[in-house]
Amino acid sequence: MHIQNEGVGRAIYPGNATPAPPPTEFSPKTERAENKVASELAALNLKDVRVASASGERMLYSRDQSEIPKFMKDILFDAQPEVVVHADSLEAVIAVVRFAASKGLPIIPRGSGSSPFGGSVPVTGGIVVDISGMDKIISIDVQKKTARVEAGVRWADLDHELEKKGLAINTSPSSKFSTVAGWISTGGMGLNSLSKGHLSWSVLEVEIVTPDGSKRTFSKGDLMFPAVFGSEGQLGIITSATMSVREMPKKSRPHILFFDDSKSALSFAHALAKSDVHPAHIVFESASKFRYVNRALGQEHFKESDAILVNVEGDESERSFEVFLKSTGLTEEKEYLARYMWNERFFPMKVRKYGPGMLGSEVVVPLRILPDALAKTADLCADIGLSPLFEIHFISVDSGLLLTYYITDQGNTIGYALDAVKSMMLTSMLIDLGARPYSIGIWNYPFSNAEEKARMEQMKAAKASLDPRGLMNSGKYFTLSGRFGGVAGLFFNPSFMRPALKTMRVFSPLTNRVMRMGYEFAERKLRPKSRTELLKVADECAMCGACVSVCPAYLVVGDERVTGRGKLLTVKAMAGGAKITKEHSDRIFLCTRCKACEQVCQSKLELVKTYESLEKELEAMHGKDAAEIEKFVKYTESLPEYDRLIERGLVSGAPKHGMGGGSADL
Amino acid sequence: MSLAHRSTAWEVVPLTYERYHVSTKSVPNRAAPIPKFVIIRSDNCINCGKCERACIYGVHKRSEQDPRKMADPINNLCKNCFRCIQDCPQRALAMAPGPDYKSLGRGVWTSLRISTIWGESETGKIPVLGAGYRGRFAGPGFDGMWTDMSEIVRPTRDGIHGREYISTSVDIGRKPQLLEFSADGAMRTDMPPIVELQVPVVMDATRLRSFSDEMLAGFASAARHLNTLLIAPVGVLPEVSDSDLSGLLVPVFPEGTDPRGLMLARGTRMAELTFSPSWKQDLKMFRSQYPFAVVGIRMNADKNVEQRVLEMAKASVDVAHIIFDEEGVEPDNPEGRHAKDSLRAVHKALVAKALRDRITIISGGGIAAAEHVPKTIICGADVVALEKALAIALECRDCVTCSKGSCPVGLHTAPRDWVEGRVTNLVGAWRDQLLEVLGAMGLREVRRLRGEVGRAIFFEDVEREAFADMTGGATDG
Repeated sequence: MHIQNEGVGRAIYPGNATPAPPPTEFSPKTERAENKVASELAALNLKDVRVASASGERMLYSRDQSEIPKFMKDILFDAQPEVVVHADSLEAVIAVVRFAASKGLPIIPRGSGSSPFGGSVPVTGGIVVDISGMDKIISIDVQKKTARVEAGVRWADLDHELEKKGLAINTSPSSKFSTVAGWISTGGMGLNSLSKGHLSWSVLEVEIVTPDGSKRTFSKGDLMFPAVFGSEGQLGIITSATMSVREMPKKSRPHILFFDDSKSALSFAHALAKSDVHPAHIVFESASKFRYVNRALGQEHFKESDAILVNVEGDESERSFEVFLKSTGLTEEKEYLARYMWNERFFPMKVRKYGPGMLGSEVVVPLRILPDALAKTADLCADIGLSPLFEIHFISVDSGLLLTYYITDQGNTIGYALDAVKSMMLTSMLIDLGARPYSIGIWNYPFSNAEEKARMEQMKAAKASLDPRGLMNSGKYFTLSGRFGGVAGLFFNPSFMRPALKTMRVFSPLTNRVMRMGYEFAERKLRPKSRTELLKVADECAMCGACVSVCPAYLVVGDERVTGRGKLLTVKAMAGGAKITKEHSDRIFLCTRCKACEQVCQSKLELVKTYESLEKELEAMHGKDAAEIEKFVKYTESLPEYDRLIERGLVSGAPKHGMGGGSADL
Repeated sequence: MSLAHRSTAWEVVPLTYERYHVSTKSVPNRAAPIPKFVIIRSDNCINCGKCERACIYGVHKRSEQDPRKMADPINNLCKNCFRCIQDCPQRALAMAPGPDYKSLGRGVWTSLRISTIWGESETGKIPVLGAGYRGRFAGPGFDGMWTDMSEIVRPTRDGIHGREYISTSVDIGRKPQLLEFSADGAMRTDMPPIVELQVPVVMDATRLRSFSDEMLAGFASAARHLNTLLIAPVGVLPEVSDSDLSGLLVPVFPEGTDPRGLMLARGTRMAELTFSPSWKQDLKMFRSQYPFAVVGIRMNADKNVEQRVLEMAKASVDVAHIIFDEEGVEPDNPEGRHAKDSLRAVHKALVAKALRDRITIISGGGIAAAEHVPKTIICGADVVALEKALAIALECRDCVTCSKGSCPVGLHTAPRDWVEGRVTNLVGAWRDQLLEVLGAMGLREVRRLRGEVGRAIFFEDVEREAFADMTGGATDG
């Protein structure tokens, strides 16, 4: 219930003097940047477009979720875009694309930047078009069970809106804060893929702006339609999508069972997937995962052995599951343990803090080779000195998404680079065994020839037809470009890299010895350089961008530097010796202290505390602009969008049926 | 209106008509107040500022140092309306009765009464305590009587000052039963000295646990302002005694003072002697030296109080100042009566002997709320003495640590102006409430309220009426 303030009358208590009306506009100071492209673009004065040209802000767009070793980012590639454009409408996207095409500049579409494969990172500069501001849910048809959304809508937001109407999304990526277009472009496999199939099953229609500046719509059945999925921004900028949704399941009940070895766990999962239980989702978690979970919880809640986590939806399915379980003679663990682990599905990055840092490999493995692949990966890991966590999401009855994670210390440059090579060794072995890369981006380019031939042909044809000039996300996917005539491309070329990795693998004891020298060197040379508390937090951050999507300051300012991810990247930049401008520093202070970032943080970091120490450092350098901060706060809290944000995004974790619960609907 | 009779010759003084009015102004607290309710802001607060917009009392504000964060709630402004709690999207707010508030006060000096006095002293206004009365309807002492037709439900619409004038003035001193005139029209009655007050309230500092000169000076200024008296131990405030304020100061001579050596400051209008077995001689000696001063005798109330007051009235004592303890009960007497019963007995005894107007009754002790003033008067007193309420007005927390030399609110550092303002506010607020009661009863003078027990309902009467005749099965025969 909300009581309007109108008509309350004059303040009767001294503490309640009538407040000044909130400011009607707010625009933070911007730094001047000498940037020809940016100034030309700005001169066009396009509607719904924000041009970011300050190097501090562009820096954020030279990476995605994964940490790119500095020498690669700055030497091999031209990862810093010339200009970043936030385009918030279809018209804006068209105008920007036309501009870029007229200049012959590469166009790199970007959503929330939550993929780790480098798909949204420029390799030869260009214009990054950030469409995460296109976040309107255009329509929801309850009868037909469809939803039409703009491309930048985040899955969590869509699900939240659907929930109000008793609906739910079919499948979702593990990062629910990724955008609709982002998931269409990268993988399309994730939670509930087992029961609801690949994302392309759910999507009915995709609207895409091609480099000629025209809007195309591809529907299910169109020849071009399948090419869009996993196209990684090669064909155009996706601007909206229509998808089928489902009724919200009446009941959702996770179960967890522990097994003595991975083989029996996998065969249980396989039998369950084929049974008439029709579970919504099945996950295999390796014993090592529970070691970290227990460590995080500070108590031995879970057995440290391989487990199957299964989510069953609906009463009927639940009954079938009970029957199925009885027939196997196995016993499941307590419900709360299952629920805890099921909730953790959205927080795969939590273990990062023990590095700080995490690396891994992600491949699609056919079920028939899965036990073998798992065993061989474990062996290889043992050979090259890794203690991995395995997680397998069953995406169909006969294939699974195998994630092999391991902890690394990304603050240790050499060690981290060596660990990154190891991840490629793992991927390479799995590909050789018959797996497919999950996504290509930059890092999986060496394995691009492992994609199905037909798929590659389909993509080539689509590219030739939609982007003949090769402007879209250029220098990637079909080839890999970079500086120095594309030396990176040669190095990462499948015909070079894969045999190289194989050699390293075959001689793994030797490889390991060589690498150990590297580690020891790193240990000797780099350890004494102590890491500040701030940098430690920055290294613990998964850079997943969940915080960006819920940040009210980002809503107002539109500059990612005000978000958690932006601030921690600032910390990293400072640690790397970069100069922070006064304007950049001032933006760091534009924060509402709402802790929304902390609530959604994948790594469960104490962000606000971190901001405070970062601000302290910056204040010592540049001072702070108290007037701007106050104006910002007053303006922000006067926005209706802000109200919606706090009603929606920040209430997770608060009791739903508590006093005033669901107050928005009263 | 001031009637200063200094000569025996009766003359008609042209009066300038001026309505008595206590002007009050906000006198903010010096110490952090003890809040009645405590708002608890838990860690999941997202600093969204909704509470600030929800609260019309100004409890919630953004921090001045960092506007991105909410400051701690200003609990003492909270009126318990729950709006912030309802509006908080995070359910991060909770409210609890203030723990310090709950442990405040004792006996009749309840936390509610103490905080009400604080509020009255700060604002000078009739307190608004919120919706509904949640206490019991009867209790010991003054809670066992209800003034008739005068429950203050809300301030009257036209305001108490907009109506026809209601007088709250009282005269202190004995009044002759009749006036005699000679054939030529000159008055032959020897007029006893009289002090007129504009409020039926005097201040009595003698029984305060501790006081400073600044405090007393503040009380004295307030007394001038209010046109009333300050009763204080003899010898205090020498500079006041020498000034034009001396008329306001009522020195109290302790028991055992040699009446022959008494010295009154110039301009003194009234003095009090302490009751002793030799009170009659003391009185005589005093009168022989200062025939034009009103003289009162202070005494602790006990079971013979009505008998003694009667004797005093017969002996032409001007004022009987009857003292009760903090609870309003006869002191030093485990079975002591409450002031309401004591005073009724005194009043009744005087009326029975047709001596009521021959003496003025001041009653002090246990006066903890505005309502106690009319109730004391209904029971038969002419004037009410404020004692502990004066300290409470200065934010005293009634913690008794002053006897150990420490005070959480630093009463001894209270400046005189502030003291004056606080006390003026308190008396102003109490007078306004007295006017409400009088107005509701249709009385236009507080003098008429004295002894008007018909204007009140006494619980024991109601109980007797309701139950005394019931036989419950047992019969006499």
